[in-house]
Amino acid sequence: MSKLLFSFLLVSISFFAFSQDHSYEGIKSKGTIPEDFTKFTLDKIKEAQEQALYATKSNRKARSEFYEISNFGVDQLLQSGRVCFNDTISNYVNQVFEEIRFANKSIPLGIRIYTVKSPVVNAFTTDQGIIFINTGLIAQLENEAQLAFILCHEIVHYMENHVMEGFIASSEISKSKNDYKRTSNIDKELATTRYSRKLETEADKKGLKMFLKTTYDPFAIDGVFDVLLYSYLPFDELPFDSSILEIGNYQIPDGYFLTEFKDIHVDENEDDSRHTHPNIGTRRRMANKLVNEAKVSGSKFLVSEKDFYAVRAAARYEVLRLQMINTQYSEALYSAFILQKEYPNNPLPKIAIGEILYGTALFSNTRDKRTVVGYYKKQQGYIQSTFYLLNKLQPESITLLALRYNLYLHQLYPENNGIENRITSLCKDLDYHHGVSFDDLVFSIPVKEEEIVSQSTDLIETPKTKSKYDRINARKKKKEKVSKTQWAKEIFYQSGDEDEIEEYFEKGKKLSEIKKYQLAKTDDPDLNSEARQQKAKYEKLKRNKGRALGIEKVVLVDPYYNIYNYTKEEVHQQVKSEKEEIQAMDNLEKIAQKTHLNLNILTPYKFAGSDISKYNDFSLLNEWVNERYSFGNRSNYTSSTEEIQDLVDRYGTKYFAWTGIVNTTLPRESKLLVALYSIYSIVGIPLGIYYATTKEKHTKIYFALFNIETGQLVMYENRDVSMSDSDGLLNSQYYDIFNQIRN
Amino acid sequence: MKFSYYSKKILFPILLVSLLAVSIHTYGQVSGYLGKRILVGFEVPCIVKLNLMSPIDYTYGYYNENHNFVNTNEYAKVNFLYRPTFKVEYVFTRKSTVQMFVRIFNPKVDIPIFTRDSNSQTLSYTPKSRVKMNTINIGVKYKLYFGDAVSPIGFYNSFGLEYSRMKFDVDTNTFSTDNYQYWNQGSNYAIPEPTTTSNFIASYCFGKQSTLGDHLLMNIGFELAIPIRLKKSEETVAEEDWAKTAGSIQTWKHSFVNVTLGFSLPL
Repeated sequence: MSKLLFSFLLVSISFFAFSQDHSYEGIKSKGTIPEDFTKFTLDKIKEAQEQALYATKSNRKARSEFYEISNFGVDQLLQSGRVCFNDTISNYVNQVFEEIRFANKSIPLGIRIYTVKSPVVNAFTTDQGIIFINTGLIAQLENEAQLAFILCHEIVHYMENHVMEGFIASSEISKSKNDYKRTSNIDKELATTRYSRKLETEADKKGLKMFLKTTYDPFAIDGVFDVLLYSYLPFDELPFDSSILEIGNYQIPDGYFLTEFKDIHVDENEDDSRHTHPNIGTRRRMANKLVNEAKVSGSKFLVSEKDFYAVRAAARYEVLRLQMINTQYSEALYSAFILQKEYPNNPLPKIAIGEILYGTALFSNTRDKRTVVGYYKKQQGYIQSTFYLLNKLQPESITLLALRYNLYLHQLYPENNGIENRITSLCKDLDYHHGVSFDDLVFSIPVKEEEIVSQSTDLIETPKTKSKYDRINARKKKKEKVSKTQWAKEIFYQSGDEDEIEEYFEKGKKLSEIKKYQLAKTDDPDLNSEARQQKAKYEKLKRNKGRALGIEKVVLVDPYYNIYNYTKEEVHQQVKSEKEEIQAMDNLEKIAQKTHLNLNILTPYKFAGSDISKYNDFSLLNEWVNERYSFGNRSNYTSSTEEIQDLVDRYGTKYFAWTGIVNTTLPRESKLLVALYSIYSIVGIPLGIYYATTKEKHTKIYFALFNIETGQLVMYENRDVSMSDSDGLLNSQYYDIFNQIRN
Repeated sequence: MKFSYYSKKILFPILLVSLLAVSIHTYGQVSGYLGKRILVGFEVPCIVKLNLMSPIDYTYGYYNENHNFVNTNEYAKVNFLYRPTFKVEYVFTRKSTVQMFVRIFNPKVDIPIFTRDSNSQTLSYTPKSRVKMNTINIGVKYKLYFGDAVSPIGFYNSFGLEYSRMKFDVDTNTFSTDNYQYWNQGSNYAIPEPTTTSNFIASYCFGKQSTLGDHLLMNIGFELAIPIRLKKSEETVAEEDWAKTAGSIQTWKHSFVNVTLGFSLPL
């Protein structure tokens, strides 16, 4: 129930309904950390509930429930590391907000604006007075006036208390109260969305009035609805140019590129009876009518046109970066292409392309490509090109292409270790998955397609100069050339020092052999008996004695604690979870002391206002680990950047861990049957009593320790113990984990 | 399964050596419970039983002075059987512990006595608490913890071997002539002699060891055991029957099914 209501809460306040994307090297928070980020949720709830009860006595229960759900939901976002404050984008948006407030004195003080690092085109408000603006939205806008209108819309949501109203209405509908006692589920859904649309329309109207008081150009508003309508498309629409991938004197065969694209089509007057927002056509018409009636003019930029484009560029780079973190490689390749066209001297798009090709190759080689490149048939517009290309490239070809591109990047940026690591890793994959060695690569000037045709014509025109067998062999050779992957072996002309490349292949081959050994099972007949025995011995030792990693210091990032009780109506026990989380963090520190492990916990709860550096580290690490998780067990994942290296230096360790505890309580099944059987069997009575009087409990402990320099997963534990989450159990489990790390 | 008399002398040293071998086994990096690998504790395997396992016979009664038959049938009697146990548990690996224990108990029990009358018909008689069973058991258990549990916390299966030595003190008053009326009118009755008997017990236990704080652990388990009679000490025909029967039945009664509740302190 709570989940449903909270989902309504988010949907009802969102300005836009779709998602989109863009890129940049990373925006950073600055200054003092606002209290919103560091205050305990329980304290926020208590404060809000006290204020509300003082203010009004109506709907006490629903309001109380709302504050709990709302605060936990918002804090989950605030403490995810995805939200930025005092950064370039937030500062700029705040300046626009000040322009609006200057013209509208009724806007209350205390509204905070934060930027969410998300490619989704969205902005939303909370009842606490926080307006969140996604980078995906900024990336799509055309001018400052559009941003101002969006802010006006969100300010109205806050001032009119729409979030609370929407929640209470939705709660009444779902709980069949008042007028909804005999309403069917479909009618309830329709009633909920109808109410939501009413609030959105009100926010549009009042927001527009607020906007019209400013000196922004009112005719810019029409563009907002285009942004909204096409938010599912990339931030620009340009035909894809394959030359960004053809950095040497080679050509990717034409068959990999689409010549016809699916039309862009979206109906702005679609049926919105089940939508939380009115359709775009309705909103556009209403806005245009009011604008025309107002007959005012204004400027598209009041703060700064230059700043707007700088901020938008930042947002677009951020979108690209997020697409890469989310392993949305087809979208990311298209974003990188647009940014490279727009900013040809910026190295970031090029480096991004190197990473995209590398990532696609890794997933292709483990037959998981579809999860990172998506389906091209569903796409509209020019972005279909990149979807099609990455879909059609064979694993061997994409690996060779990624190698070629990263060799090119290595020539441009020889000091970048990440590129070098990727090259070695690709060489390893070529050996491991495709049996391609250095000798298979062609370093001579590639023969272009038209030249092949020309040679072929020569064969026919001058038959006397060639023997029958020459012609047969030439035909064979030509056939090989057009084979699916051969072209990719012939793209290495001017790709760098051949001796150096050969060295990379040698390193890759060694890594490949190690991987073969590591992945081999103990009963693998290819493994010799000595290796089998060693491996079996290691597994046994690991089980009986644990690992002995000998690590002195670990930074634990964002530990979490969740309690789910399926025997109660409120399954996710959030209040209890937070209390336990606070207690668990203290316990972890004590346990670390007992094991002599130097443990540093990075979590917003422990940050002081001045810990901005820690906050940015926290944010960076969470992004890093999200990307790392996407790569799963692909041990050749390498994403070491200068920022990561800086973290290692500052914290004095390269070992960072993520952990979480989940306690689940489930009802026992067939309790009566078991009780009867135990009585019947007599000897089973004690077990029967135990079974009948207790609930099924599980405590899951998740722990992942990474070497963030290499991306190596040093230790992974996903334990499930069928006991309640007593301190003793948790202490015992963490003592074991820390002991294995430290010993 | 029969063991020679001298085997007892060998078994004790074997058990002792085994436990020493365990304790000197240096798995230095095994965590134990918060770094503590030795647990000292007390537990009570116990069971409430209906007296359904008493020998079935027809002489559960006697004739009083008025020649009326008095029924002494005790089928419905409820017995609470328990065996206080002191234990030392050693965390052997991350997934197992080895436990050494001593049980000392001496309940008064009813023992079926087999007698024969003049017609060689077998009779038996079961008066109350006429035999005290002084018992000392020593044994070892090997506990294997389930799944992701880390010893010594979590659900476990244990397999144990226990040596039980029983000495029966017979309450001669019960058999005195003053109490003639308590025993059957049969002839050739023999008063049982105090005697000693031994058993091995193989046991299996499914249990859960949990924490009651950083310094106290609680153990609850469901145990099944099978006694294997080893030997009695004396060899008169009557006493052989008596000891064999009494030892086996009482060991079965006490150990076959048990619920164990115990506490331990990590050291």
